[in-house]
Amino acid sequence: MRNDEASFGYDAYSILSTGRDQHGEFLPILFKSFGDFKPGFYIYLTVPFVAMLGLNEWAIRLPAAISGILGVYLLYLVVWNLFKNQKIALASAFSLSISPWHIAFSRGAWEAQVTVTLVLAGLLFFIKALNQNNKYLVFSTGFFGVSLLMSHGAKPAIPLLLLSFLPVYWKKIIKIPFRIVLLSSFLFIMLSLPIIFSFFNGKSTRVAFLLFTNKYQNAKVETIARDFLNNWSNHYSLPILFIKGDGNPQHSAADFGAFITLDIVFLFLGLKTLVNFKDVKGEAKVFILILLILAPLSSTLTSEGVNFERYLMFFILINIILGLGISNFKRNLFWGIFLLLYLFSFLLFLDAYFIHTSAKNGAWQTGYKEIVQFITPIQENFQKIYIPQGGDQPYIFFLLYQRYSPEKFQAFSASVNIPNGSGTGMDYISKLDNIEFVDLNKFNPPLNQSFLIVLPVNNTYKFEGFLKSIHGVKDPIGFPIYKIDEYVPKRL
Amino acid sequence: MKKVFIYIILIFTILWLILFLFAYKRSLNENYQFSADTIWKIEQQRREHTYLFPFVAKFIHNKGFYFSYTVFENYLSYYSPSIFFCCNQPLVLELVILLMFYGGAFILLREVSKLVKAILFWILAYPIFLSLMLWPPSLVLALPIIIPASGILVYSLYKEIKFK
Repeated sequence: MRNDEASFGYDAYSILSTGRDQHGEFLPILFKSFGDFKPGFYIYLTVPFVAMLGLNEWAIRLPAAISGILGVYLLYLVVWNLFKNQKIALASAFSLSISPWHIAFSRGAWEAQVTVTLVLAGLLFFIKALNQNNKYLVFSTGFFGVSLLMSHGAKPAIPLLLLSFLPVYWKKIIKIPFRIVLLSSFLFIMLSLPIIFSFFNGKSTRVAFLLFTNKYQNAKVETIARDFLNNWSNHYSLPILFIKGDGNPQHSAADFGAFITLDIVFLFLGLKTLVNFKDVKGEAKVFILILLILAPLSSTLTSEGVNFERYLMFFILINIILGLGISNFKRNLFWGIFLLLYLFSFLLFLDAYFIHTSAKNGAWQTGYKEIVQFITPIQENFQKIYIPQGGDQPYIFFLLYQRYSPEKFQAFSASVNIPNGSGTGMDYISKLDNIEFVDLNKFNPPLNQSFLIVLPVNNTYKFEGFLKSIHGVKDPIGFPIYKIDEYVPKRL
Repeated sequence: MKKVFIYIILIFTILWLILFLFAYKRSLNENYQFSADTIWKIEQQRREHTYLFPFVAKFIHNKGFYFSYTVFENYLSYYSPSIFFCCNQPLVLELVILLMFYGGAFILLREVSKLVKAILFWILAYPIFLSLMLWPPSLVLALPIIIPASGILVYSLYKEIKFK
């Protein structure tokens, strides 16, 4: 389980138990979490599941899984309403249901995944508002507004999406009664107020840290523009989308693209169909093409480069195009061979996902569950327990797996909080009872008391000579990743 | 005509397969493609198959398979927009070339004349052979597909203006 997932789960548990988040704030909209102030809608969605199933992986991940299933149906409805063609709608929904990115994001607790489902719902009601009943516009803006409260990625993506509506559907929008437009706008502004305020009250440190302009000091405009365009163009890189992925195995499968490799054939056919389709109303075609250009912009604005999590809306468009391609795929001489190759390509994804992805330890913060389970029963036997500090935010795994009392943690969380501890806009927690989270490179263990220390095996430390190893933590394929050592001072 | 086209494709496929085998053999001999890191990666992928038959792991994770994927990755790179920003040319020039190529490609997808089909075939086929070189794709190498696409765009614009 990732640290973000653990944080969602523990915050939901904390809200359920006390009405406050882990840092003691009463029913917040933005959750402080690791100091990154996560938009909290996913946490509130998790609360009923934690209440029903308890604090475990199932309860934390179930909202995203249900949202993934809903997303497939919503895409079917959106495409049907856009193209008025059931074959294309079914093909798009099918394409989404087997897409590596969709499977990966639906099986973890990803707020970005739920954002996509909310955006699809917003899009569906928007199309219905234009073509059937104008009152649906209120639902549409409601869903778009709520999606802003779901994930960081939605903050720039939703305004861009709404902007792309204007040039295409302007003529229809101005025909909507003014009172409906006013009510919808009011609802959207009300829902987006917490996000707007977050830019002024210091709750957007993580977003500010990730902005790509941060790395430029007195750089030429051309250099910035070139880097921006290069970054933007990388989001369309076919090898990244269809072969190797963005380098993060959490976002599809290890060394695998966001789509099945042979989907590239359907992409080509889909694009050809899209630009030639006679039944398609010009506006839907233009809307998809504009969105294809704008969708990666929110991800481009960050310094991290291509990160699938930040442009999932773009993938939905690709799935629609793939649906167009699949629905217009003609049976010819090579049809059977292609089908076999496609199936093989999908099997390769299953291999990459179920065999190799889980073996990528760094991505999943593998080992912490076992560490907590080993340490908890013997925690009181030692005066101190030292855990390596880092971006993994190890404290959250202790809170989660020990079902640490939220009231107790809220009482002292402010006193153990190290603001911007990593220099990346994220906070650290220094202490939890007798557990201390330390930077091992600067750490000098006190030799006058007994302690337990967790050490990653890929490094050696000068104080290791004094220690006695009592347990080893291995990854899923049996390689050691952590060792748990003890130190007992000699009696005088 | 269709028969001739099928024969041409058949000849090119056989030629490509022969060249593929040569390229693969060369990459093995010269230790060019398979560095120690790459070989460790392939072996690690096999090790990760803890509960599937070893022959399945060997069937999927081997040098031949890795090489084929690299070739395919190279092929797809020729159509990725990042190729236009790789040569440190003036930014405006790179942007113009990018717009001309994708504008031309858009028109190629829309038109159905035989000439356009032939150009589209050329644009899709040319990097197939180029990808065997295993060099990182560059703007210079991609020029033979950029120029015809740009030409189509210019021709279409000329036609539009003339008929107006």
